[in-house]
Amino acid sequence: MLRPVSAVTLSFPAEAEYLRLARLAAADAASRAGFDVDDIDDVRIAVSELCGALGAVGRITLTLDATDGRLEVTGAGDQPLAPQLDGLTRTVVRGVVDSYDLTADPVGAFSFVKEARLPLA
Amino acid sequence: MGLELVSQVIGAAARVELRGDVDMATAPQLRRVLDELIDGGAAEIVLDCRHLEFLDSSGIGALVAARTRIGADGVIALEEPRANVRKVLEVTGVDQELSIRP
Repeated sequence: MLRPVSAVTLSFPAEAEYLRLARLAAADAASRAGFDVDDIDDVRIAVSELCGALGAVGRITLTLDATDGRLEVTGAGDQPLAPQLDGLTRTVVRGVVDSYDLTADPVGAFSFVKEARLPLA
Repeated sequence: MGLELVSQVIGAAARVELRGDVDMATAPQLRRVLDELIDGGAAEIVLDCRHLEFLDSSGIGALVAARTRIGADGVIALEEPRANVRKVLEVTGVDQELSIRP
């Protein structure tokens, strides 16, 4: 039985160069949630795409809340800009998470929940 | 580590080894290399993906652009992509437009 862990919050410049950092944090959180390699990869992809959709100005705050077999992810910019998802981005995100939410008010933000596809060992 | 690209060209065949991540930060680098190879007359470009650790929609965009530019008679092939890279190729349907080996 994995022990629940506290949420981790990461703040970084909204620049493409920092997406790798966001992916590293996401992979770590997904691992703490007990996800298998495929689910960890899905989380990395979704976080990278959605953080990238928040734009390239200001900062992004990414929060990762891992519990057994479940990961809740929220990301927010610091400006009231709607996240921009082009067709390819939307297709990729839909391919790796069941659902997600995007908001522009009061700031551009996203959220999704990923649950382990396979029961935890 | 961002993205390292090492190209070899023999006649109309080119081979590019990718090491690292292709994302919003590095996709322009991949796009530039592919454009240069196609402009230089490459008709078959093999991308060695064994050490490609991550590919996102920006990278897919670069690959699709190269597929279009090289034309119907040209080949863009990805060699040994990892599972996470293969998944992005599959969910976007790009695996049907490019040659994936194996």
